[in-house]
Amino acid sequence: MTVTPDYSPNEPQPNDSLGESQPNFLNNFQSLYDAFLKNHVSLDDVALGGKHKVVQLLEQPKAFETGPGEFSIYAKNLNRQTNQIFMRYQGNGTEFQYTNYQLYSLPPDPFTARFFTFLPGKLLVYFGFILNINFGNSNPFSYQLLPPIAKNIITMNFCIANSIGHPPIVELEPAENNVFSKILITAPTTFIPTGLDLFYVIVANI
Amino acid sequence: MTYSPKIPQGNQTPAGTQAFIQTNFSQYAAKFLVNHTAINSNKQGDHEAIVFEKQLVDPGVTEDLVALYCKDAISASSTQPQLFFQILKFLPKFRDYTDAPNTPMQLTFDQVNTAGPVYQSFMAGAYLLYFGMTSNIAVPIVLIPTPSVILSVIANPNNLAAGIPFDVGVTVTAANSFKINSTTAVGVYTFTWMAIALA
Repeated sequence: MTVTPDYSPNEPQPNDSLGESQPNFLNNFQSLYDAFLKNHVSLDDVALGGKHKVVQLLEQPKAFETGPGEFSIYAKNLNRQTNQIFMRYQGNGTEFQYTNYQLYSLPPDPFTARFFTFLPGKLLVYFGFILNINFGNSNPFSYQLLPPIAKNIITMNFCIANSIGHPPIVELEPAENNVFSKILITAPTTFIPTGLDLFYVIVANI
Repeated sequence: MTYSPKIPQGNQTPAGTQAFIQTNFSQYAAKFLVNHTAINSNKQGDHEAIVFEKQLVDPGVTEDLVALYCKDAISASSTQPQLFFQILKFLPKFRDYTDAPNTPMQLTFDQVNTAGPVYQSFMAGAYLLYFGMTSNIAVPIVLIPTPSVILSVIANPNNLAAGIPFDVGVTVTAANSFKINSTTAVGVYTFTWMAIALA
């Protein structure tokens, strides 16, 4: 007989013979086995049974409830985004967004190396280096942040590389469509070399 | 005896199958207990811990969910199982038209250093964050654990020379070291610094 697993908590019935209830037992045991196998090492694995292979966090409609002594990790969708990992402290405490946009390699450029990552709390960290800035041609020099998704720039830190001087003056270009994506780098008046290299670390809200 | 989804058989008597049914109930409870709060306890069904068995391939995500899992990550200092996550493909295409593949993202690194003098933590993407302070810029600062490549270094003087901050610059001297340079730093001084590198 082909059994389609369909878990029933009402099996067996008192007047069932084992022959009658056998398919229902099989259903239930198979359903428990299959459901547990999702995300977990199988129930019949002697050494590792019960441990996780992966944890798939299904989208939650709202912040997950936490009681005293509990900490929750869950997935929630964001406006104009996809599901991201959220965490919430005990007693329905502070909820914070842990992950963010998909990380990816930015297009290569002979004069820059751009990288980005995220920090908990919808923060993006831009970092990398800019090579061979010629302030004689363009002062201030405009630098493009990628990906251009910063709603607010919190801190901008620049440092001269492969030379010595005072850090450049940096300021934001006006936002376009509520996104800050360009930084104006002005060389200090006492130090305007050609071919200046800069390291930078910038933190932004997104 | 292990859990078996293939019991009872139709030709078994109650007496002949009772031990197998008991085994299934007890094995289910035992395996469930490995990472979850025990059945019949106050918070049955909750997770108490999540122990990940190392995976060889990424799970891929095509639904509205986030996948957390563990797989080997190769770094300059070691190969260790690390926590990864994967989301449904999501790129900020409304401003950046890059069509990057939906690669998994490494969340963790197996070392931190909270004792200094070279402090170290990590960020998503297999990036290591180092930071600290030095009062001797004559010697290079060596990053431990050794990264693959240094991607950015920021150094700031904490002292003045003739009323203005020391001048400063940094030079990466190796995959795991950099040097802070200054022409005006003399006497007793400190520089604070931070570096980001690929693990």
